[in-house]
Amino acid sequence: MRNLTVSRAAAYAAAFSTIAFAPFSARAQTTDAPPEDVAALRAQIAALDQKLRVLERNLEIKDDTAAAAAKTAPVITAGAGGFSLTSADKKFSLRIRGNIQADGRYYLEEKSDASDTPDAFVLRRIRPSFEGTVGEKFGFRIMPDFANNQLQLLDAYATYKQSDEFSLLFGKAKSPFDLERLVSQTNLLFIERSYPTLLGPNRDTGVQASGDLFAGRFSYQAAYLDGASDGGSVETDTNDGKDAVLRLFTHPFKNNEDSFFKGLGFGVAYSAGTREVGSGAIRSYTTNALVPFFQYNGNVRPDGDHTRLSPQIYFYKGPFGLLASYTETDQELINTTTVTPASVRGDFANRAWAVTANYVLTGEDTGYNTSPKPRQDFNLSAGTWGAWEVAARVSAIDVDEGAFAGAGTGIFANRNTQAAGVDSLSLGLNWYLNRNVKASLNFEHSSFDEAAGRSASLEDFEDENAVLTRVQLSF
Amino acid sequence: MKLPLFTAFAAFLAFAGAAFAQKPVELLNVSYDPTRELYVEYNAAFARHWKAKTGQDVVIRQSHGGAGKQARSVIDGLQADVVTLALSYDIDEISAKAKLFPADWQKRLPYNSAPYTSTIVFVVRKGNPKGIKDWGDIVKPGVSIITPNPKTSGGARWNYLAAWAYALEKNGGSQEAARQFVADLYKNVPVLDSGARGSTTTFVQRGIGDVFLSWENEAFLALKEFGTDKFEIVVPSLSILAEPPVTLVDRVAKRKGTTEVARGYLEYLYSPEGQEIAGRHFYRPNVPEAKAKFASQFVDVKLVTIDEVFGGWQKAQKEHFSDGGTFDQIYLKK
Repeated sequence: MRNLTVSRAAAYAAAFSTIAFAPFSARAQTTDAPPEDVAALRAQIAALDQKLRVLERNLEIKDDTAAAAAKTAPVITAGAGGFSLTSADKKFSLRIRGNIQADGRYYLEEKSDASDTPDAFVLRRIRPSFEGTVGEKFGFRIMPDFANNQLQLLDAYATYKQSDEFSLLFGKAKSPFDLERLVSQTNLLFIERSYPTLLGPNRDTGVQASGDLFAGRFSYQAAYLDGASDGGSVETDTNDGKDAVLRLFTHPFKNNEDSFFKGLGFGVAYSAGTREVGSGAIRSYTTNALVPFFQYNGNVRPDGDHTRLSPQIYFYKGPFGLLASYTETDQELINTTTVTPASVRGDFANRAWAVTANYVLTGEDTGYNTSPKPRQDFNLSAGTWGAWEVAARVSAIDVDEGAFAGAGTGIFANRNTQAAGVDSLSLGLNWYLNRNVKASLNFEHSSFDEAAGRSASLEDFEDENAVLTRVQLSF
Repeated sequence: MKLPLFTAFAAFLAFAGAAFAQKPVELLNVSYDPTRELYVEYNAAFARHWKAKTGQDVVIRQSHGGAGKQARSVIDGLQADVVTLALSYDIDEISAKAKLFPADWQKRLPYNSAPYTSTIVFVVRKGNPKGIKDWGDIVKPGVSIITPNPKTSGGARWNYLAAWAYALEKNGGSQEAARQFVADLYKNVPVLDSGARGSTTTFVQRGIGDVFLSWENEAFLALKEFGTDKFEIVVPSLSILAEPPVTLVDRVAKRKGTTEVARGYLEYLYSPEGQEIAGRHFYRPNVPEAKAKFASQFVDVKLVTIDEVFGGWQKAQKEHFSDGGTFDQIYLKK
């Protein structure tokens, strides 16, 4: 383009000077020139004029050709949001994104027995993701995870978007249930999600429909899925039972720019399904510092109905955010090896809640499933420090007391070794060096509830205090 | 919980069906460069006709460009319901390379699927300062000719072949003489636009050239729009019968569910109203009644056909316009 511009300018200059000066030089030499000479000069000027016009037109055609070629050339972009390749008509695209989370976990109480959790550096997540569009309405996403030297396929789905009001998703993705689960792992306020996510489904396979109605003020998600255990994902479905999930959410003031409650959203999620006895073990519950505190007995399996309910709400205003949710899971379980029929089956309701508040000290806006975008990136030599955020969370989980009932130390869970609940306080500090790099420091305090009937000779469960750190790179 | 899968699926179909319902049907007509004005009027007329006939609203989108480029776009995936191009070879290429409709597409509509024809004439500046009367005059040194690029423009290929046919007749069928004649012609071409409309811009609006080798309809349009006080049409002693054909793009229309309306769109070109509109836009109608009505609008000129002089489009394309063909040889030498 630069060469073209330069050559065009040179051509114009040459042609202009030729045309401009030719008449004067001719006049100077041919004041008394015969008419045929004047006619010849006029013809010469006309010829030069044509040459100039031809030159100009050819350059115009070259420009048009280049512009047309640009219209059909794919667009390659690289930036803070990842790397992408998009067809000229924007119907086909591939976006490569990824994130690496390197964590440190430090447990402040040292235990002398096997229950001690070692301090450790861990690679919590290593997730490249490939997402894009195929044609005008179809899309896809594939996201594996390489953390802990294991390969897991987390997301693998195809989407069809008919309109903002109606989209379909086929494959494996997050179940549309838990408010905090639906926050991307790169936008989490705390290093680990809290207790309501332990009771909701994680990733599940099936079909989901979703859409935004009333100019985005109301959204719905409905899914028919294999059926994941509480806090778990489905890798291979081993039973005919399926889950139906419905989540309704509203942002009533979303489009009212002046409203104080513009950033308010609330809704409810509900899931209902059945499990057959062969559908696998139930996941253990862990504290916010990832230390297990409750596990059903090894021979306990889901068998029967499983419902969940989760009211949820958030509010964001400038640098301030508040997010809260409550989840109750109600599940029929069976102890497959107990001998007393009356004790073999039980229906247990476990409950969890969390309230999280955050404030961006440097003034950037916060929001649901977004991270503050630093006004100034961290640059030591320039004296700029990125964005800083503080967060606090109170959360709790309670296991149904019925789980500890029965003969021995309990039919479904051991009341002597397993805690019946946890109350936790979390404090967090997040440093956003730029849009791609984040460092987090969390302090987690948890105190444990004992089950009724726990042996009095046992020592109380010791409070847990832990410091978690994370360096995250995402693009 | 075992939801009845059939019920869920039926509910989904009903939901999706409701989302699709009640939208006007949309067609894309991929056409060549100078048909813009023709199809603006025709599309409106057809929409009225279709609404009256079926009660269905139809919206027709247009795409215009050099015929070769347009055919390439369809081969590359442009979702045309119908193509209305400058010559049959380009449509043959779509059939052969993209398999979007059968190879015998030209038999599906009357007159070799050409509802109208045209030919090639000269447009010169008012007063015809270079005294151009026939093909022989334009190859003289100092005459500047405007014609588009035959590699991308259907009209340009007709121009080229008309000149070749004239030279053959003048030189007792000598291919070598014809080749030299056309080589001389392109020596006088200073600008190669990609399509006929671009060449009109070059000649009419940019003021370049002494003679513009033009579609007959484009020549009339230039006079109508820019004034008979600026340009004149010169009809050479011999020209070529240009048959711009049309066809349904079966696979695209089937996929979009537009087969019926797309077929109706093309068939209506042969109706009295369709032919009338073609005539008004200076295309030569092919249906006898309309042909007779507009006969006085067009001069009587000896027209040769591609089949009788060049053995059909496939042969002509291969010899003259394929990569390394005659045009490349003579133009690259220029």
